[in-house]
Amino acid sequence: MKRLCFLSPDVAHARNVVRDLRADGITDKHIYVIARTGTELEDLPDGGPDDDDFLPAFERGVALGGATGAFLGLLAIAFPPTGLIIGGGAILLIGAMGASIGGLLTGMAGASYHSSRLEAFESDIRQGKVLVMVDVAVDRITHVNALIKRQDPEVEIEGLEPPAPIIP
Amino acid sequence: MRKSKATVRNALLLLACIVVFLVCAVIIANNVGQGLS
Repeated sequence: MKRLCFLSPDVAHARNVVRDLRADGITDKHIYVIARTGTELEDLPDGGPDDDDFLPAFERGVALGGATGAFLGLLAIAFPPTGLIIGGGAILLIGAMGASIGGLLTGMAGASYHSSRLEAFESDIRQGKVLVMVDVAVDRITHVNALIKRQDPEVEIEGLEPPAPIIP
Repeated sequence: MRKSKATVRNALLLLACIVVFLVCAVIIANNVGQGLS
């Protein structure tokens, strides 16, 4: 699967393209439409998980928190507080605590930001353009490209790999 | 995956984080308590 992205000049154009894509057999599951806040998308599919930055931020938080926690666990073993005997399990436990708190905090923070993967389109979206993304099989890319260009030959189509889902 | 599904998945991930954090905190607190007593 390859993700094709392009900017529609307005919602009406996006609606026409999505209608063509649906008629071609592409289901709503594989179409994502992202527009400026307040734009009425009506029956168009929404941006789904790509709307915000939750998942990338969550991954970074878990990795950083886990590493910091494991490091603190090592420190606790190297310099144990007086009166406490600390075993190797402390590295695991403090690491897991760090990963969970890191994921929790950065995930919540990331959810309030727009997706960092779509930064390149952000200024255009703010100007009122509509970002349409379609997941298509590699052997159908040329066909879908032609389908999109039929509505507006000047539209620029960019490829973007879809993210591998952590939980399928 | 649609927005509502993504929101549910995000909430579950956050909930899992809270559970893991609490379990670890309880285990550590127990061990520290036993070590001090």
